[in-house]
Amino acid sequence: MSDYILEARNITKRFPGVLALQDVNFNVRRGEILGLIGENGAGKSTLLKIINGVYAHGSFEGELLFDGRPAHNKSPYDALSKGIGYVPQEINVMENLTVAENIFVGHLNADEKRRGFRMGALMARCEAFLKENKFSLNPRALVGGLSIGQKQLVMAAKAISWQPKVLVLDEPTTALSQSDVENLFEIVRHLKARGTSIIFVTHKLEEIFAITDRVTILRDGRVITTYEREDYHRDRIISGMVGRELSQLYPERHVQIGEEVLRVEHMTVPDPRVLNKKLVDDVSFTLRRGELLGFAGLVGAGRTETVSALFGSYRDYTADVTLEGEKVRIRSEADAIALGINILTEDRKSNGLLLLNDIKFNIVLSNLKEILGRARLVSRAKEQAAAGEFMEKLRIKAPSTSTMVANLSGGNQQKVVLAKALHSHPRILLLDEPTKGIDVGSKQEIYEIMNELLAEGISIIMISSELPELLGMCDRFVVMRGGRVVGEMDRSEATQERIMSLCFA
Amino acid sequence: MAEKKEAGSGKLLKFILIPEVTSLIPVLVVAVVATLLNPVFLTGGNLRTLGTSLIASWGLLAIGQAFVIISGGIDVSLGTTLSFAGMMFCSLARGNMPLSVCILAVFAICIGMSLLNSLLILKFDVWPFVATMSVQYVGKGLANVVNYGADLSISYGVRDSVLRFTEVMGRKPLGLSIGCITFLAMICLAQFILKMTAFGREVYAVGDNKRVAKVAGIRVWRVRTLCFVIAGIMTAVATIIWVGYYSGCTPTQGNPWVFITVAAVAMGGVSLKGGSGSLFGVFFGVLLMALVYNLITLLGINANYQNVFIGVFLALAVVLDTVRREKTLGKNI
Repeated sequence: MSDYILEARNITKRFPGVLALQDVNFNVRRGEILGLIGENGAGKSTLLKIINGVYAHGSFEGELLFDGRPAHNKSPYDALSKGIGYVPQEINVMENLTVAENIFVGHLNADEKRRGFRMGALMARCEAFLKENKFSLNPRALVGGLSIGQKQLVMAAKAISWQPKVLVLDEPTTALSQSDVENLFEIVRHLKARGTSIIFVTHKLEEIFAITDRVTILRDGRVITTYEREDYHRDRIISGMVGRELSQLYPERHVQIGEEVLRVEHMTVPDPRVLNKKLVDDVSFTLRRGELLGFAGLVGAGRTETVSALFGSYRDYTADVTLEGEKVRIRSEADAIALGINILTEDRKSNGLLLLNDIKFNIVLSNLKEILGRARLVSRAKEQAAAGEFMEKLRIKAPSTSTMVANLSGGNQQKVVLAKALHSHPRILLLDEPTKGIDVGSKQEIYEIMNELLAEGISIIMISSELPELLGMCDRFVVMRGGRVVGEMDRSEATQERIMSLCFA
Repeated sequence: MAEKKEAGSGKLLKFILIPEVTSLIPVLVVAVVATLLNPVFLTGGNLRTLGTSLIASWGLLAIGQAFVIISGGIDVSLGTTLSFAGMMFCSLARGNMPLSVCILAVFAICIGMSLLNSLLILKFDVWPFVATMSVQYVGKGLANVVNYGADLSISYGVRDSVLRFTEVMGRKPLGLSIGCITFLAMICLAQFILKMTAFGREVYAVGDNKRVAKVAGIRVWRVRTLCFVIAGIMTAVATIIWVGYYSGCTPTQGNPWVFITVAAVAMGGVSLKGGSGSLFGVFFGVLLMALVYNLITLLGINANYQNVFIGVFLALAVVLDTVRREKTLGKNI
């Protein structure tokens, strides 16, 4: 019998233009809790999807061994029936069914041969199961009424109900309250005691220290190293995660930073879905003319919510916003644009671009007034001129302004979104992950464009989950965690380690 | 060689998939079939029946429907609203009200129903189909309430102004009914609004993707409400045209028409998913519906087959739209 319940040998996974995993070797011992840690984009999710069969055998190079034998997982169900349980990060439950039904869906009958089932028997079975596994959940409760944390526990219970030999937990504590976290840890330790192996993926160092036996660090699609518990050292793990050289990717900039243009004080955004939870909690910051302010933090730290609120996308929020010395109240996106604020949203496909329309249609959308000519009618000439100007300025590579946006590469699509924002002549530009999912060449072009805009006197707030990018580009940093500002520093004071440790705390 | 042929057929397919072209093809096919089956089809007398007030009323409703569908909604209440408004027109006229009051009432009812639709959809977040279905039933019921479910005629017992109005609406300047002329004018006006004004741009953007439109600073609720109001105005115009021509109204007059409008709009190359299509396409869609109606009359087929054809055409249009999207988007999504 092999020492390892799960073993990955030389796994490489390619996506068009991206090497997501490169020669990854890693293993899980029987009955241990293995931590898997890495930055956003390090390849954790890809690795997990290979383990649980979302990427079926044959779609990647290398070998996955389960219990000493090659595991040719065809689908997540296939992996589950072999004994690999997976709890995804996103909540995925049936809101209108009870806890018991959610947990045992797929095997509602204890006895395989019987058709139909009795609710009473299911409840009794679920009650016993939950008690045995130390879950503090009520089997009869409707899942729709549970908190997000409890839903996460229901999903964990669902995976555990298949009695897996390996249980993969993908950032399970993101949405959990402190007491739910404790409940989860108790459950995980109990599973371990019964011989189940657990892969615990997390962003949080404290959890690595609290619960794992070993930790494997991923960075840029490679396994950097694995530490045994006795070798755990905070700084060592952080530098393993971020240790990258700042390359020449980031062009130099000589811009005179001017006076303050924006002051946001005490911004608070309540979570529209969860009572008494705040997405953004008393956040204050300032921005000066020609300055590039970077928002650092983990996914879910409240950065996107902060700039979205500033852009008027939230109905309920409180903040004192001063724009060039004047108090303003931004109630809608249209208000923000009228005041000279525009945004490049994180997900260009869902809220940045009309994919089936052409380049010029998209670019002029944020400021239709400007393409109106005689008698306030749309002037094709003005539209063409405006779109052509931006195509040239932002170096959008396309046959003409009539090219359908869906046919452009990611980098050029992103430039069209940027052109659309610039068409409204913003004084303040909010960039949410401006280089997400685009190739290195386009990234560099976007950085150069940002520098040109700053030189024109536009002020920029940039959110990025790539720390090197933030460090390479920004003049000043605001670090957020859990909806709050936990640090603010100048370029001269900032280091990857310093920001990272603020992010993780 | 084979490659070349493939490229050629690809081009042909692309041409056929241009919405206006796609919608013209079935028009031609039905016209040819009709001529072959009954040569009377091509005579001037028959072709003139395509321009009657009945077809014009369908067309006017279809214009309103097109605005709603392009902006990403659907309005199945237009037909019963017409019935209700038409019954109210006649009832008021029979109550010795002047023409202006009757017309104002029609506009008030139709726009009121539209606002009710947009209130349900935008304020209370009801799915457009369900919201307008409820309003459809309200209209259906009210139309019957007006005269206890019986028809109303305005050919006698009304003021002179109303009589004169029905007389004018029955005229045919240039050989076309007043309704038909109105319809043609409205098609051009609607196409102009959609293609040449900022509002038209906003309609397409909102229908394509509401979130993108919102981030671009477009006030989405205002655009959507306006589209429903336009549909209401078109319904009011159709009501007045129809009642004036028919000199009366029945409480179920417009009820079956709403489905004809949806089929006409879809066959006209407007995507039921919103965000694309043109009013010239819708014109062909209406023409197709008129041809089918004419053909059935001409060949003496059981009139119920009309519904079968409409259903088939609607399904065909939706399938075509899916094919068009796949062909234009390819593997990009």
